[in-house]
Amino acid sequence: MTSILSLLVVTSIIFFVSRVYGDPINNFIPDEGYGLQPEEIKKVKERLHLDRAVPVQYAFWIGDLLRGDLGEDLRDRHPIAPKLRERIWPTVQLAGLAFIVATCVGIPLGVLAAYRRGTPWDYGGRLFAVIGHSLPSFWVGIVAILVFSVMLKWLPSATQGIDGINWKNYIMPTLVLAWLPMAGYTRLVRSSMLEILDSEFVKLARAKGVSTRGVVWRHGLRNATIAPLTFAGVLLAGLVSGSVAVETVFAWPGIARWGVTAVYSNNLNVLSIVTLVFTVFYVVASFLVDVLYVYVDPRIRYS
Amino acid sequence: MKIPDSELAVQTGRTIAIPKFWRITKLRSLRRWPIISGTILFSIVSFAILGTFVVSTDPEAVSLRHITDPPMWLDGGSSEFPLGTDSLGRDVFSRLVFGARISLIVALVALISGITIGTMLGLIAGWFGGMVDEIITRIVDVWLGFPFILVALVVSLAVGRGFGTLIFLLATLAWTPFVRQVRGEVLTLKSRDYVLLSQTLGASTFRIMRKHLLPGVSNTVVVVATFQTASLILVEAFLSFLGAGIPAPAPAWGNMIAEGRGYLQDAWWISVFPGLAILLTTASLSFLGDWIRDFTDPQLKQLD
Repeated sequence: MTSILSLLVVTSIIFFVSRVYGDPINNFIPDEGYGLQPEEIKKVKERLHLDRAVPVQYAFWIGDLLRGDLGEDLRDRHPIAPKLRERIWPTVQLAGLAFIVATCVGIPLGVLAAYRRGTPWDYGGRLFAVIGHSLPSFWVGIVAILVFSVMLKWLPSATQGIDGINWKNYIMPTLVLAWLPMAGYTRLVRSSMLEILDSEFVKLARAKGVSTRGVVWRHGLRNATIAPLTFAGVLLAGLVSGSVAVETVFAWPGIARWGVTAVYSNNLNVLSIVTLVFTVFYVVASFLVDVLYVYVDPRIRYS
Repeated sequence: MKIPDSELAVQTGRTIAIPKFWRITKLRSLRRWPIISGTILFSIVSFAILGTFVVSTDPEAVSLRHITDPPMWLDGGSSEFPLGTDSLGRDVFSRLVFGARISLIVALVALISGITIGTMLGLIAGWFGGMVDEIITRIVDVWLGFPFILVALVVSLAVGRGFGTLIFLLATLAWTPFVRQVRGEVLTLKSRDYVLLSQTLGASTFRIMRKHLLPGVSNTVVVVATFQTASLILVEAFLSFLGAGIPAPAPAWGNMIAEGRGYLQDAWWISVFPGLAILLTTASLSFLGDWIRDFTDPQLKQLD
């Protein structure tokens, strides 16, 4: 229910606000109008429903969407659906890879920092967490390009279109995108791990003779993963804005950059779809997190 | 969350060596104060306030004879431009100083409105509970799901870029964490004896909020505010980088990074220094926030 509401609110904001700075018809027909007669322009407007009031247009758009029609790109008049299919894959790949890297590095790092509290591991982990939170990811991307592409010439700075991606293209964007969630994981896992290592049941397990490793990984980790899940919302939102940053800096052929260029060119239909996709991603992911939550923490049961 | 070392040794089955460095008591008491981050923040803020007294060069003055001069410690650099010049021959250092002013003002104004709205909604949601609470919490949830950057881009292009737009956009982003944290805090404060007593004596809702709840949540608000300032500065830089922030000739950190992007090969300093300035500011704010939290309320959970 909330999720549907959120989808409606986001898309309607985009729809109404983008109208303030220009009629999308100007995209379709340049000022000179290709020698089009006013009647013909009117016809085009009618076909795209652009002659109606904005709320009516919005209703039309929702209706088309429910029938599976994503509309057409206002720039080149091609339907959006195949373009979206083409561009969504690189974005999903990048975000997925980054998420995996962040989880696989961030959680062990947090456990290590908590377990070896007060050692260089701990200080290193905490410093990394703070720096990770404090750096703008677009700048990290630029510096990475400066060091690895410009100075060392090891990695390519940008992709050669959708077909031109090879494994070397993945390295920098993935790491830069993973940077922020990784720092978040380290920080959260460390603090909740410290709390858990102090709890009664861990002491009992120790007293029963469970090995250190068993306590940390079996009893500790399971409980320590609950904390990052609580903040999954913030993390997911960070992943979305992070993709915008990374795809812009590395010229990644995904939907985030598509959305940014659509903003600049007042390409209403593309923009609405991209925003919708991001919101849907967020809604679905938070739903999955809720489900996972119950699975990881059996104390929570939905009534 | 402070665990005595001896106890931790019991749990994990090993003694934890605290580096000798911290064992010296004097340093330990020093460690209680966030000296480094405090100093950094203090100097950045004073640079921002005293801008014109610190740097004599106009941040927007173009000098064609000094295009992409390197920083003073590199070959060809001069002490006239300590951190080099950008592609139009403008002094990077003076742009950094004036950029600090813009970034801080924008973040602070947005923060203040965020605190006001967020705390108020948090108090209301926590105190009244029920339907009101449900609605406010739902609004926050919906808000968090926004692809904020894209919406902000559209809005800033529609309304026109500038100070006002940027502050408005950041303010719409700033309030949510305050609602969440304050609401949680109020839920526990609600059942405290002094609040109940005050209610029994017939105090008005407004009076209870002002006299009993607001002081109770103020610690939380301060802590959230430090972290939130850091993230607002980051978002501001990103919006400026995308061209949706402060319009071009004005020096903003995000603008500078964007401008230097095309000159990485020949003049890395244009992009690198503003990023370092952002890092120093936000990292110091995080450390400061951590410290305030530990100092005022060791029970408070880690935020994000």
